[in-house]
Amino acid sequence: MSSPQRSPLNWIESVVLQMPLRVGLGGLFVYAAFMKLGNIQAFAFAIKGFKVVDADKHGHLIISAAYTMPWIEMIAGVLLVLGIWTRAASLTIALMLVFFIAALLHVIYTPGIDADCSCFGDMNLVCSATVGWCQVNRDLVMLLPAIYLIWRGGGILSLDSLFKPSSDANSETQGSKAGSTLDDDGIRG
Amino acid sequence: MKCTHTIAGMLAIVGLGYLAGVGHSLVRKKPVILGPALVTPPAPTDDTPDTQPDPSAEDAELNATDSDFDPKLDAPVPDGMLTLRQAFAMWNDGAYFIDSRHKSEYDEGHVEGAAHLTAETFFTDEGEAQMQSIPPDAPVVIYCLGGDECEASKNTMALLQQSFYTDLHIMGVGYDEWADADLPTASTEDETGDTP
Repeated sequence: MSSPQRSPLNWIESVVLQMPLRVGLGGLFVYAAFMKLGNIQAFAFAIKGFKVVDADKHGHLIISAAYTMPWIEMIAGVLLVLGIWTRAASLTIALMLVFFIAALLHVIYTPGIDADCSCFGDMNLVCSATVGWCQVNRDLVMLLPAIYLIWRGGGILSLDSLFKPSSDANSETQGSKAGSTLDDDGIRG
Repeated sequence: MKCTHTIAGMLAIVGLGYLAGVGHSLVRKKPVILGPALVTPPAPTDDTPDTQPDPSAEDAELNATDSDFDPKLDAPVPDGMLTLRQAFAMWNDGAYFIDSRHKSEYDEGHVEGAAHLTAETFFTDEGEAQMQSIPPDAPVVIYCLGGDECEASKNTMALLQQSFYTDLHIMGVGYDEWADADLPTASTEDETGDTP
């Protein structure tokens, strides 16, 4: 029995939108994470420069964030590219982008802070190194595909979809007896 | 239910990222630092007063050096940092200068003879090459855009301290003030003959 997701329209959506957006957004985050992991020290300085928390009192938080954030970006980016747990990875990235935008706005609206973005390590993608509205707009643009992928999932050409038919079949044949299915993110519920 | 699973997956990704970060911190050889251990007091020079200009005693300072006072060279700087006059005296004495601004700004113009070293380039081949040219016990003056914070200079200073450099100073004013005072400058193009 064919899944309703395998209609021609779903194929077109998956090929034209979902897969390019997954690979593009996920790839960007993998790249950003790779650049930050290459110089954790510089990333820690960059976080300190944002002055979201007091470095003297809460330096441990800055160091924890410097180690943790690039790995979250890396894991979410790889999952998004592969199309595993697409919605969860997209939600993670969307929340990170919202957090980044809030931090950027904090720098822009607080007088006397002249911080470097360090969003892609020492590489400047589209915008200059110094924090400004360009970075906010860039993050807003990246937020759109993240929201779209939370809404629509990874599409047919994702590994989520590869594993889904069998679970559908199981759930169809076993019905409610099994009492568990796999959702788009492949998480058993 | 799908929403619950998505949130659970997101929390799992954050948890995995945290564990990976903890593992990374354990295997990393050098600890991450957030600033210099202490700000080195400025080196006294023959033609400068022994103490830093204190903003609270600014009038007394001006009176004491009234005849030599130059508004550009003796502009007040944050505690523990070099005035332009002190920095220039160290430049004349052969101190090493490090520019910790962005590479494009350095290429456009920098203190003559200054090397480019920032937190971003510190652990790169370029950074290592710059450090090899500076002996650890040599006097080093670091500068950036100046101002009260001068974070880039402090960050570079902290990394140099971690690498056992001992005679480190921060110039309290920025490159623009150095250039405005008609002190020696150069661009990368001048020094290499190449367009950056």
